Amino acid sequence: MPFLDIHPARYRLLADLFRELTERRELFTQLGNDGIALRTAALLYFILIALMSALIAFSAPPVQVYSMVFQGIAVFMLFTILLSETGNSLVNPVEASVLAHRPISGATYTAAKLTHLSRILLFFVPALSAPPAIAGLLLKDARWFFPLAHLGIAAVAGVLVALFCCALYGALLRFIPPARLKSAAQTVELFAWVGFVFLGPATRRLSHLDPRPLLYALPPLVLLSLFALRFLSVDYLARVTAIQRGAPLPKTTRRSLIGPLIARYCGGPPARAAFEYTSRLMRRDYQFRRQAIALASTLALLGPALHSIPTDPFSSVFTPIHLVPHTIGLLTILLALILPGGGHHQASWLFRLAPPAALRSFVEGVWVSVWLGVIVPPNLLLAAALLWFWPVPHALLFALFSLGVGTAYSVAALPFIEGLPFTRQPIKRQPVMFPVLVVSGVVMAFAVALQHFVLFRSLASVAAAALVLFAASLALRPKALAVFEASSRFHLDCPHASLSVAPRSSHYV
Amino acid sequence: MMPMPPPVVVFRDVSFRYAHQDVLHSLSFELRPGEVVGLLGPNGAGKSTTIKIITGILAAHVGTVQVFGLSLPERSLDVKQSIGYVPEAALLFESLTGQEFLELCGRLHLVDEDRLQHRIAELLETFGLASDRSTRLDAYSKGMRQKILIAAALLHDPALILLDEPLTGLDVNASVLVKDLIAALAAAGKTVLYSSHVLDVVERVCDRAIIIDNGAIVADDSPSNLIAAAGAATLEGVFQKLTGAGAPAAAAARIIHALHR
Repeated sequence: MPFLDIHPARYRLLADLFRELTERRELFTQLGNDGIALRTAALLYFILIALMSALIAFSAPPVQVYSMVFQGIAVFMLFTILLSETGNSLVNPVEASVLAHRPISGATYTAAKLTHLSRILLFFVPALSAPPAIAGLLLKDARWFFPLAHLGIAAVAGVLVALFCCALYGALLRFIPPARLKSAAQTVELFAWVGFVFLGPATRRLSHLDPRPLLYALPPLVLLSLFALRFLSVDYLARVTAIQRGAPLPKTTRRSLIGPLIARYCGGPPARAAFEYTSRLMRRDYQFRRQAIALASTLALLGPALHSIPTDPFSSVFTPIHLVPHTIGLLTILLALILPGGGHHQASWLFRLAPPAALRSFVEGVWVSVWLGVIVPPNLLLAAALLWFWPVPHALLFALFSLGVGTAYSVAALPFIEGLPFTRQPIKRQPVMFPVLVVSGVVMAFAVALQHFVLFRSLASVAAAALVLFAASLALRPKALAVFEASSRFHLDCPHASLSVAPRSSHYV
Repeated sequence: MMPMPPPVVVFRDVSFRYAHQDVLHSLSFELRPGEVVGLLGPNGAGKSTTIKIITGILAAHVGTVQVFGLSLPERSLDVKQSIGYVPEAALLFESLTGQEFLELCGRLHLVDEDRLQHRIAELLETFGLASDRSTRLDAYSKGMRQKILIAAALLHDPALILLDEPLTGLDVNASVLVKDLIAALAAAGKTVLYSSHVLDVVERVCDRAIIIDNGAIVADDSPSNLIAAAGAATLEGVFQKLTGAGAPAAAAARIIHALHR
């Protein structure tokens, strides 16, 4: 007998189906669909939070402040995790196209999805809240029931966050046209990750916050979420199926102004083709964007830098602004790792038929698109922001230096691109991601120390360093492009594939 | 005189639009029990949209849609229980095996377990997939996936079967089987709406052909009547005449000319 329009047999079938897909990793980048990733991520959070809570507990803050800070961190982390998970789980056109014409009520489907999401809560709520709950007993004014109370509140907050995420997507599904749904969902996710930038200051504010207004806000929030949850139950599967039609075509096709210049100076029509193909698909490929959004957590590094923007690095006072050029550069390397994966990788046959010389120019075009798309725009924004606070020569020189650093990173990133852009199935796990992050962290620490203690003592040394970076990038670029080209041939499984580096003597024109 | 049975599908003055594009304009037709109706039209004419509206996946913006006397989209759950649908795109849960996928579909339609297993075994055997029943769908060829989709559409013995390009990717033997199957389904009293670009098949298996162009019906009659009325030799000739395809020879010459520029 259906209860609340939930059909028990179909609910069980769907819940089993989602669990089965979980075990078999049917969907990409879905924590909930990957038990190992789920456990590993939960364990990492557990260790990190355990260290933090021990450190903070030893500094003996008032128990209320301590609890608020960790509840705030847990809610934020759960929000980013669940928002992404809910998006992946709910806005899934394949699932909708298989299930939309089956006799499944919206309530049945929503209940099965909520069950699926609750699995993530079961892992993350204890991981994020058990360590501070236990460490809280070290505080002077903590009562014996503090761990239970802290965990209880965390569990309620977790359920609320899950409800809110479902409600948010329900509202999106209801009010956003299907053609724009995927983009809207990704924008929401991106905003959540950008929140990392403000996590530090927000935590400081939380410690002075009176919790009572939050408690008063809870009941209306729950009601609102439950109300919005109803949106999922209307014609949700049908709307998601309509996503398959994709975004409406633009009325006019814009012609790239830079394209002809790239064809002229960077390797002919294949380079232009690569530039336009890569820069367009970086914006449009759904799978790539999903992965790129996850990289937005790197923006957390920009948080302290943005708060200290008024401090001029030439003033001998250390400022986190030194991190900005490296953060942009690190983003390039991380993007290089995900660039070969794409939603329409089956179309890679096209490149197998291309003449060998065309590929040589093509990889050059890919580099140009990465440099113009990822390195140049943030540095232009940086220059504009710095001009507001610093003397003009300082601002321009820092932006130039940052551009040099970014260019060097973009060249260093080329060997990490394992295959032509969007020609491979998105990789579920990047085994090199962790070592890359560790090595990049060490390099960044050395570079920042060098900048602060040596370079930013005079304008001339910064200008010289920028020039050296540009010259080194220019010198190393052919070798890096050759490695990228060889790797592309290898992964395309070209008949003329070779791991040896081919001479770059001729361009396809 | 025997009273006429009520129509299985009623489509009356139906209009539909996607975000910036009108797809169907005041479309009206009916499907009778046991009829095999071909739905024809050029690419983008609105054939798949029409079928999706009948399945309850999409809702008409204007007009009335009734399936088995039930209004859509209000009664879509009841309608979905009684239809079998083969979608144009073969999207499947790739990590499931053929057997698992069919079991999922059958159970969602609440088919009794013994009957379900029997039907799955029969269908897999008939489509030559019995030895691949435990193979994951991501290892299936395009034709094998299509066979799975057709099998999934029939498992719950629906009274109305909607086929959107069902022959895509099928080998000759499987195509012949599907054509015979359509005739057998009609003989068993099922109603079949069959969308296809393979016009000679439509000519052979369909009692009626509805031709849509730019979201409007331009012809609705038996293939033989359409051919006679248009003074054409085949349904292909009728189609070209009605959908304004122009002279194909001139278009081909134009392409060759463009390549020589």
